[in-house]
Amino acid sequence: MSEQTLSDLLGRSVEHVPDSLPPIADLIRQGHSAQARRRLRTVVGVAVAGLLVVGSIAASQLGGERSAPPADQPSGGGQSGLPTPPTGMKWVGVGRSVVAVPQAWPVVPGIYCQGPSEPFVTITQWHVNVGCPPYQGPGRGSPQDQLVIDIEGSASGEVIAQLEGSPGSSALTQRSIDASRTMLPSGWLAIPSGEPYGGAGAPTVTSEITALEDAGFHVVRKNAAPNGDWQQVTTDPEIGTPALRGSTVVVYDHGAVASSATLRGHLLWVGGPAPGTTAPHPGIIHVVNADDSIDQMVVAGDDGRWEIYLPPGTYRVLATSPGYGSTTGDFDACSADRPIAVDAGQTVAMDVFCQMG
Amino acid sequence: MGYDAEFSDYATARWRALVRTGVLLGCDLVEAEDLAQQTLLRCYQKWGSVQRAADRDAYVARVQLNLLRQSRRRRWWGERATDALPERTTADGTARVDDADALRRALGRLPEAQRQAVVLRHYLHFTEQQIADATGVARGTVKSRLSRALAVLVEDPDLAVLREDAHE
Repeated sequence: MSEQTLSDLLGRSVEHVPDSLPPIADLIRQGHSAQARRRLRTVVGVAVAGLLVVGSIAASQLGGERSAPPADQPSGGGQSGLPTPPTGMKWVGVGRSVVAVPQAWPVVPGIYCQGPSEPFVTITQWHVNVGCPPYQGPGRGSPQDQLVIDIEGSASGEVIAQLEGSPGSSALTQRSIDASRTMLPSGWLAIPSGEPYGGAGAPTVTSEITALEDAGFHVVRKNAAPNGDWQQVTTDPEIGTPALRGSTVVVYDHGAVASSATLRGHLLWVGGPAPGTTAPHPGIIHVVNADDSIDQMVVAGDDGRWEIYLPPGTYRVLATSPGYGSTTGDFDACSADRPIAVDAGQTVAMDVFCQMG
Repeated sequence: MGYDAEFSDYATARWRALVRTGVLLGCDLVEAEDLAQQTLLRCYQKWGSVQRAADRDAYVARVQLNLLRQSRRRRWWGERATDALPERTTADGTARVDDADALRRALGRLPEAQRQAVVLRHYLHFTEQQIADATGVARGTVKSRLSRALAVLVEDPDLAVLREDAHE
């Protein structure tokens, strides 16, 4: 099928969709209302902050100030340098900007309103949704009970926290969230989520480890029992909670639903008279299963070595290596000689070849 | 041009494409219009970010895909029981609806990520880089998704008849 034919078919298939007019006036009116509420919350929140959060912190620290410690201040002795959250709360956020959420709420990365039946926190690197129940699932409450805090960060470090839905009997309010907003001291960082900006689904073990290492954490990977099918990977400290940059974070791989098989090998260029000689090269390894539901990439280093953690299954292993191309182009021009099956807990070696000449 | 005026122009220009993109991504018409409205409202609230975006359409597409993803995850309470079904009067377009249904079935058999890539590339005519920006994956992943989706669609029996019609 040509691309033009497909474009034609797509265009024809929606010709029957009746044209309508965008509700511009409604959108602008709703937008103005939301902005007004946000401004009001900010103004009120600043005033309330002095009474709620600073007061709470001052009381807990015997009048001490929430000042950033020196960057090399040690983390022992009760996390010195880190502001104390209000009683019963914990810090959750993105980058160095955090807000206080109930201590008992687990953090479930990358999932919106699916997870445990109790209240919880969902988080991605750039978006954090706090709440969605105690009202999870059919029969567990009405839609009016929904409570969500949408926290969106930006590359500049700005973080917006907005309460959506009716708080009902919850003590959590927009004021308390605004009032609790805190910038972590220098050297501290919220544990990042491995979900890419705008990407779908929860972080995998591989993507979480990459995000942690990119943020400057030392990572230790451990296997762990399944933790509910909504959660492939957890960390200690929890994703979204503050930790000292450079400290050790344990990444738990939760069994069968997680990335519990390991594929590793070398990326090799092959040339010369048969059977040929091989030389390791850097590149991008691309691992994909039959139905495309798992599609991951990992970098092969200058020595050609690569390793990737995956759910059990059968995979094709392809690669793109700088400087190497075939008649069909350079993308995925290299490949392993056959699909490879891996079982849970198994480590399988598989080299990927770029055939020269 | 003022903030509201610029937004109005943009919303008016993009409304039809947003609704139809929603339909191609698997929404019915009402859901697609709701999705388009929520997308534009979110963009209005963050219009400064939309204005600063290197690629405005890719930014808005990303908002739309994220909202669609969230709405599907929340679908269990997103549905409302009503006493009477809403009625919408439309012209008789049986043949066109049959075509649309065939294509919808074919798209529905694709994995979600491939379906999004196909709609963005071949309906909205995004570049691979725009799709990568909108879906948050590498450009190479976009290439592979499109390649695999086309390989599946070319074999799809529902589309065979449509292809013949398209060539007539």
